[in-house]
Amino acid sequence: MARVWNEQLKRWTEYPYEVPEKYDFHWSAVFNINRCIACQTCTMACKSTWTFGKGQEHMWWNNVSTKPYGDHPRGFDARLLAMLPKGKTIFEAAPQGERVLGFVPDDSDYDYPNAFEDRTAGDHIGPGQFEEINPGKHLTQDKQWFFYLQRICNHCKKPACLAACPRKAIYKRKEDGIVLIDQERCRGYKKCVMACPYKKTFYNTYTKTSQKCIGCYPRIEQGETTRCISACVGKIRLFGNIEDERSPIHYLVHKAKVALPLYPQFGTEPEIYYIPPRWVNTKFLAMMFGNYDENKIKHAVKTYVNARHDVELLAVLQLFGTTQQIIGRYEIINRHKPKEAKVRAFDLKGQELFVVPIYPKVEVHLAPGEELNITDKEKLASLDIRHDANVPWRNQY
Amino acid sequence: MKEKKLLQTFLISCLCLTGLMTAPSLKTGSGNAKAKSGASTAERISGPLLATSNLRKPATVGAASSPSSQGNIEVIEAGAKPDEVLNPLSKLWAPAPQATIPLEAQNIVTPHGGGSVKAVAVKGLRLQSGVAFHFEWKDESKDNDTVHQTKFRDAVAIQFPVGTTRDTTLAMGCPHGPVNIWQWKADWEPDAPRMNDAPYANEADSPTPTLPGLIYRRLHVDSAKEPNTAQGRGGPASGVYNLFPQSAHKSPVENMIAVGISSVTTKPERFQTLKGRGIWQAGRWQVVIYKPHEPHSVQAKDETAPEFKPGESMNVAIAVWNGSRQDRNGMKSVSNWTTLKVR
Repeated sequence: MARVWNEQLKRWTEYPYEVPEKYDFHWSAVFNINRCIACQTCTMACKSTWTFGKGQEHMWWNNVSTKPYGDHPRGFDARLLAMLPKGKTIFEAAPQGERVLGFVPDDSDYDYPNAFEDRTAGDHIGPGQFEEINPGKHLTQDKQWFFYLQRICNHCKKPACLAACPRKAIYKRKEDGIVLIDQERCRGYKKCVMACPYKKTFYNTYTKTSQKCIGCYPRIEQGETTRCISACVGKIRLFGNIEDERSPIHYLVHKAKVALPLYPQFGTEPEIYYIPPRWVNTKFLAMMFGNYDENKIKHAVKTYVNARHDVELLAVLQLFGTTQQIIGRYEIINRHKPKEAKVRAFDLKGQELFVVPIYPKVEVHLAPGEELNITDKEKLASLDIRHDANVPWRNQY
Repeated sequence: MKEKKLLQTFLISCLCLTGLMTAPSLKTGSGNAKAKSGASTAERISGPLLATSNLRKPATVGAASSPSSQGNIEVIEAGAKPDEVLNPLSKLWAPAPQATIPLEAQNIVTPHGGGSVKAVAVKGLRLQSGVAFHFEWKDESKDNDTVHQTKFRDAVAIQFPVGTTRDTTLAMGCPHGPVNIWQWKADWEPDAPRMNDAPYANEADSPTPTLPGLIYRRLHVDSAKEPNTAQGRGGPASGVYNLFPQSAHKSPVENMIAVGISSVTTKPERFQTLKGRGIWQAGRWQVVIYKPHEPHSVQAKDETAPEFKPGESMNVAIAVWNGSRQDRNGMKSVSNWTTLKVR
């Protein structure tokens, strides 16, 4: 075991290999959970491009499930969380004679990609009681909640799949950080399937090899975003180079700190970051995105909800889903004149891609008292959303 | 002089070991990242590598009628034809001396595993056209299904050093001392569960109707109706040289070479001439691996393949995988180097 620095956990952790300290370019993306409608366009874009072959029936390199109850494969996170001692990564908690803590899902675990779709949870009910409630009854009040979780391979900086492969058939590309399984070297041992805490490596039952999200590397090499990201109709996804300080996703993750990694406590340093949903139980979100630190969630949600007071954040939020090209950097024009403020995006070579207004105005006419279906006026006030009728609305909400 | 030779052997072994065991750096596409000193090399090799003193007394595993050779594998001459010896139950195997080789769990390299198979009985026959080995071991379950997610195969392998054992190491050879490995796999036999090779004609066809029980019973599948194209058959793995896709199994035995841990590589297709057959009955596997003699033509000859000249002896090692115990890769029951004599 080597000792490596985990930036997300802010501590030295154990990992079977030494890792590069820095990449020039690292594949990464931010997913805005608040805007996802679970239309599964991303899922089908991926499926129809990469996994329509025999033996790949159960493979969803991209999937969108409903949290807290949905998952694919079944229990991918809950089972591991139950096994993992608090304060240890999956490498540090590896059983004797193993490199990583994990499990291989059964066939039936892959059977229900839509399990618990749109099933709500509530803070006022205890464990096991959710069956008794009427799903959706109180959906529009904050007492009940669910959210959609969009998942693809995280192309981790400390990949568990790579660490677990006994024959080094898995490698991480130096040029962009994409993690790939060499299909010529793979012998289907399923150690990567066992090790990946996100269960995004899959055993192909026909080729008898394991296969995983390839980060759409043929598109990345041409400066284009992945299929799932470019196909997103909800414009919830933004791709970029997390290592470049000028990149919009670097801003969201490291400066605004509005986007957080999924289950950082597993210790793999996943490189998909999520803007957490603003209506969900903070403690639950802290378990998923904050390494149990509720302050991280509170900061992210507050920052996001108040985005309209932050020109730069609002500018970066306009970049989501605007182009299929990878945005290398952006600049804000007329920062101090809201009516004329715009954001200009550039590709990786520095060529201008587009210019969009930061404060687009949308006329929305609401009947008094029924705005957003939120009846709790105090809650509404705390969200800092203007609810007068006939006012220009900012499209972020 | 003798001491000098011993020292030399020791140094070579050490070199091999350090080559294997140095903490590797994260494998990257364009060159490896610089490796700092990671795990202590000494720590990892001070284990029971090559330790043999505490081998358990092997259980009897072979047929009672065969003569025993007390640990040494003997390959005797026989006038049989390859097709006849390829039946593990054939009477032709009865006169061959049987060596009982003790096996132990593999705990040199992570992941550790194996240990559930205590011993394997080995016989050898030298035919006019090649050499055949017969393996027999106790295994309560026949594991030849690798279609289901949590299933693993039974297998047996025999390892030959290229040159002598002084040039290499037991644990999969070393960079300047390759080893040959022949591995028979239960799921490469024709009777193993398979997915339907034809494209799915309709939904009822998919997936895997040839299995005793369907997998993914609840999963709606309407893909793979494409003609039997490379992508339709298996996605990205098609089109590369890999013998694991079920459409690629011409023989249940794979011919491999290794130059250290993690390095096992399938030999080129022209060297995949090994044949084999395995029969599981009454709680035991009986497996034959047959190797035809190397052809004389320079192009077709595998220079690293072992030669079985009468009167010579060599060292070999055996490994057995028990699928029902999740054995795969280095998770296996292994033997030490064992003498093989060609009569």
